[in-house]
Amino acid sequence: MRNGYLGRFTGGGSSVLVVFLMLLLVTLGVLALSSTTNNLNMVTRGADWVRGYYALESLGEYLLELVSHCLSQGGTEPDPLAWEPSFSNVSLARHIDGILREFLDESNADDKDDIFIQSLLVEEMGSSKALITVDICQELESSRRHLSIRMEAGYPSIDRLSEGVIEVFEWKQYQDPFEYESSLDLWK
Amino acid sequence: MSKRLRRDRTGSFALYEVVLSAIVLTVLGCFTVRMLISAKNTNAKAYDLYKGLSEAISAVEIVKSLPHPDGLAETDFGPGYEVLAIGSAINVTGRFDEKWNPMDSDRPEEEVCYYVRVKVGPSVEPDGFTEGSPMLYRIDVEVTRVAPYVLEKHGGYQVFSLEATKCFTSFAK
Repeated sequence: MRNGYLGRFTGGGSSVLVVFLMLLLVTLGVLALSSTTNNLNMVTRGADWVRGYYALESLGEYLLELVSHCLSQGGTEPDPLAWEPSFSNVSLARHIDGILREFLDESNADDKDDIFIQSLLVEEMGSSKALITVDICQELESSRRHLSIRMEAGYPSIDRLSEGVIEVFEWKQYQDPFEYESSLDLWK
Repeated sequence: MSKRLRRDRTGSFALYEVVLSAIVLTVLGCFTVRMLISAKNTNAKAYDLYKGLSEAISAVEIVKSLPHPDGLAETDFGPGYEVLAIGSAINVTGRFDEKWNPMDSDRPEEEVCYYVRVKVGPSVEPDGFTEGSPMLYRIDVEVTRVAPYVLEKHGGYQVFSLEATKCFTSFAK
């Protein structure tokens, strides 16, 4: 009686072991898959962050190019954006301001763009210098990212137009601080 | 006799039960193996994306750190990279094996598993005199994997791509 019972138990024991191993494998497989999927999602978010960073930088570089064109003098073909003090009584600061605002109006016309110029200020620093302060903003899912640029563009003096200089004082990216939602009801 | 048979049948599986359980276990086993391979592939894709991202950022920052892209050289990028100037554009190609080790040009092309392609060129094609005048350059980076992942038929998987720009101007200090 006892032997017969043990014999039956031994026969089913291997099956139970196989089923147990199978369950173990399936569980480990599910865990591995969910872990690696989360890992991939995290790296993908990092990659998107990097793409956004360089997209924001690109607009800053474009503005730098516009300001550089305002200072470019000489050459076989004069730059149409370059400032010519003899042609009009517009100061360099007002000239740069006009060029940048023209670009600002063009870029703001496209509402779909998630990167836009939030503020632009061009201050006159004498007749041949301008202090430019720009804040470029990028809309993210939960907050905003900014590129703050502060640079001085101009000439040492009005009669040295071939020695244009752009001095970048600030070129930094930052993100709006997170605000915790105080009205969130945890018990709901 | 019949009593004994009945008693014995209660202690063992019938043939169809054994076959059925074998089929179920085989199907479950195949599913599990497939799941584990999928996990391995996803892990490999995550690692490739991380490595591709690092290589792309390095390449962009190297180009941006130069006073002008004409000065790009293979020594700027390190081993595994080749620089080729075509007109006003500069193409940089990095070759890596399956373990992301940089590959020298003397190793056969079949061993290449990853390509990092960097294209640097003016955002607007220049016309006329441009020397010394400010110019905006586009930097496009594409990281691709040539070899297919495990149990995947097609290669040529794009790991990562990045677009950046840089204004090269002699005025900026």
